[in-house]
Amino acid sequence: MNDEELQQLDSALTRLAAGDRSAFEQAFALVSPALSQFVGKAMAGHPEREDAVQNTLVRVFGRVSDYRPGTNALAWVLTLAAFEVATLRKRTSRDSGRYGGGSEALAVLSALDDIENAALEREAVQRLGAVVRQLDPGDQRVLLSPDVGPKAPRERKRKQRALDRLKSLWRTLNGND
Amino acid sequence: MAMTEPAQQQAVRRAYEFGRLRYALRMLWVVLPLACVGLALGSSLEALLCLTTLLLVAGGWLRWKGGRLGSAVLPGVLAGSLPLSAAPVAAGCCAMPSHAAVALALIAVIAGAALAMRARQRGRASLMVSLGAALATACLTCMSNGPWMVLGAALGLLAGSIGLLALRGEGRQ
Repeated sequence: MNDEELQQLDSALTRLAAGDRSAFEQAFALVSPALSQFVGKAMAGHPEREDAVQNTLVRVFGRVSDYRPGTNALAWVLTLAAFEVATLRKRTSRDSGRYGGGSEALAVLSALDDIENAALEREAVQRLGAVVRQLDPGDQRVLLSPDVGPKAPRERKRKQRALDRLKSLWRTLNGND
Repeated sequence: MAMTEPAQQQAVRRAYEFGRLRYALRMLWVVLPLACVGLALGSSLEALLCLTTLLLVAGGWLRWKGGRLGSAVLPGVLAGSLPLSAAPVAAGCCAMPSHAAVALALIAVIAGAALAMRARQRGRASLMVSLGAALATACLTCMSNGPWMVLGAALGLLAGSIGLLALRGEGRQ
């Protein structure tokens, strides 16, 4: 889910929470694929995966009136989904004894990890973009031009200098991480 | 068994409406204790039942529908709990019912002003709903102390909200 979709999701959930039913279609269209992906990963190979997606959707939309504007919409949806998935897996494992408790928890944690990593990557790209925008236009052009064919030593030197300035600016703005 | 997309959407929509209903009925946790206070302070059971039902049905419907009017109900009930708790004190401290009504009106002014402050960006309809809810809540105890008290609470709430709106208007000019 990109930034624009995240904003749309926040706005749709905010409107739904305020009772605006016309936002339902949009919210459903945004939440449904995200939940299918999350539940699909968390319950990979599970026979009741489809039912779990359905139950999670019902749970999320049943509680959407509690959504507060400004909350991270995707995190809110996925937290509810994670609880629902954990409950379903626990119930199934109790009923059939086919799934071990440790592997279930690991599957849910791994799905959450994937989502967290994607969010961190997105944040890092945004921060890098912000730093590059603060460089002077000449450096930006050098850094953003594609590497095609062998380069003259002068060009290589220019690129190296622009990279050094980028690194130094990054450290100033973001520390050494 | 997996559902088709329209059936799934319908089930999810139903869950959303149930969620709205649960949200609307959550005001029970505020209104019922206030009604119990009214009962303990000697309000008649019939009047309490009427007011509580009115608050729950009208307020619940507005909250279920949502929007600005829906979000104005609970603040109104909470603001109304100020004159509700002040009414028996005023009636106990003042010998004349009219004096008690004036004292209650002075306290209700604060609740009215608070509601007007909250409703500044939400429109007059939202303020009217809040004031209605506040008056109905205040009446849970005011009624047992006579019509003067109901009048005092109503006038106090109105004066507080109109006064604050007028002051704000003047400040802007």
